[in-house]
Amino acid sequence: MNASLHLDIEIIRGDRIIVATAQLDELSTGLLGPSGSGKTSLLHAIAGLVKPRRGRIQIGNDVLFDSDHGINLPAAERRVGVVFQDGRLFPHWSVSRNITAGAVSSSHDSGFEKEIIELLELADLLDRKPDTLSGGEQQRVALARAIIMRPRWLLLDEPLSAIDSRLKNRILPFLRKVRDHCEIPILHVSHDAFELMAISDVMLHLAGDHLTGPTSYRDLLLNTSPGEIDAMNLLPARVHRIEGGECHLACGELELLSAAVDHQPGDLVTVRIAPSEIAISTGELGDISIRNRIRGSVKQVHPWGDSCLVEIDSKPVLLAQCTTESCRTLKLEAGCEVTILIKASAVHTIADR
Amino acid sequence: MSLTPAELEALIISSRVALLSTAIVAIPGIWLGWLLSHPNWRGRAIVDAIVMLPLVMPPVVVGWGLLMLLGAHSPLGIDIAFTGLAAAIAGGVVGMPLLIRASRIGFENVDSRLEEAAGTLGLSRWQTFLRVTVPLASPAIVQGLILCLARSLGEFGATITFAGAVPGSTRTMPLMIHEQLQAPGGDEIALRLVIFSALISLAAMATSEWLARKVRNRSRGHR
Repeated sequence: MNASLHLDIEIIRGDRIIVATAQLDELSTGLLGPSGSGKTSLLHAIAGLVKPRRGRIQIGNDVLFDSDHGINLPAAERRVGVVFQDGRLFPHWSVSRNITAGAVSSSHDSGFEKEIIELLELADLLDRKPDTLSGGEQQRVALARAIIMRPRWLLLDEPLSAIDSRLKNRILPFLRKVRDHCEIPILHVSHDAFELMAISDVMLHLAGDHLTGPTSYRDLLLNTSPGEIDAMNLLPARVHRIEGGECHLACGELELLSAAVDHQPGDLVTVRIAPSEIAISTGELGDISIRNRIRGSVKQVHPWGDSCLVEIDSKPVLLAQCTTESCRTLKLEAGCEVTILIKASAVHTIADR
Repeated sequence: MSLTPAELEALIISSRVALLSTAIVAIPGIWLGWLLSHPNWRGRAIVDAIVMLPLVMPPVVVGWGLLMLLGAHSPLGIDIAFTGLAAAIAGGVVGMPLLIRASRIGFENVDSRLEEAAGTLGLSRWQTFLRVTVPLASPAIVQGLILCLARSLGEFGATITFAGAVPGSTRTMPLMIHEQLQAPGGDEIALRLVIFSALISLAAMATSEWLARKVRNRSRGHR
């Protein structure tokens, strides 16, 4: 990608200084961090709304900010699109005028505009005013507005935080479509790792005034302490059949059972299992109510705070959490043959579409 | 109740003078309101105090000041005293503080986050000002303009000092009312003019409310 984003900046936020150094080469990168960690400030620095104390911001070979050479391009000249947490649609304009607000100042491409209106399903909203739209509709309009100007990078600042969780799952597919269709690199900010993983394979982590990454979620999780970020196994799966109150899911080489929800056979879903909901057994199992039993061997045992994350080399790989004491009792180490147990009720599914 | 030609003339002059004075101060007034809506710049408090002076000083003093500045002994070499333009400037100067105050409040209430958003969309500062800031502040600006118009419509002290009461060019309604009150037996004519003035003022205020509501609704998205 010739538009990789290079960051090496220090931002003042209250009485703290946030140090951010990273090179983003992927089409989609997440930025994870707790509330108040400075994620928004970092995004605003890239967009040109906040001036870093020092450093350098570069897209490809284009310098947006360089304190050593006194370069600080105004936001209007950066061509960095932003979808704000609070929407920020222009209340005095219709949806159609809102989404072309940026396009009119550069070369207007009505073909692209039509494509985006179709992609984000906005055709019926074009004549409406922003305050007559629902939260989800407003964010779709904000997304379209930021894309139609054809930015070199698209920054999403918790675009889903103002939307209730049921609707979130309906917006995520739109974000995926934008990523796949428009080929505009995305930096997506959230405090929710699940939201980030829905569209990004790699993520940055901002905590304790330092930015780390980009790394995979697994590496990030293993390098943080318990409680810092949500621990979860996220697996793509397909609904195989639904029978007797159970949903059979084909997930890589595994067949998982979950308590049935309103899916149809053939649906693509994302499976979410907390590592703390996975039990490990090394011996023979008698009769037991737990529906998911998976044979596998231990790939690695990672100490994780007061407990351990045990990596099982199933396909796909699963992380199970157990206390250090139980690891010791079971003599868990790389190569151990184990059976892992997951209650069907601990297997959560989220429809991809 | 009909108007005599002289009364009608006063009415037309009043309207012309008030419209002209509002037109003269519209751009500087809105600009000063915008300038004062920004919180941190050197000298803001002083500028704020100076532009509000015409509101708190006796209008006669404002008129005298204008006479000194733009009269026969003008240091600028511009003598426009006792002309129709002088009447318009006198009305504009006393009306401008109302326009500045109203548009300043309008600009202060514009969400700066929307201006930021416009910047990220590639709109220059000027484009952002014209397309986002001014339209969002427009309900307050419109009200300011109408207050300014109403104020200059009723101006007396500054006008008589700087522009006099020349029939056919600067003798506005208030000046004519004053004249009639001085003249023996003019009470009845004065009363008629007072009633007309009151009707015009009420109409101006009603129009102001109607216009402001219309602009406000448009910017809020109701139809």
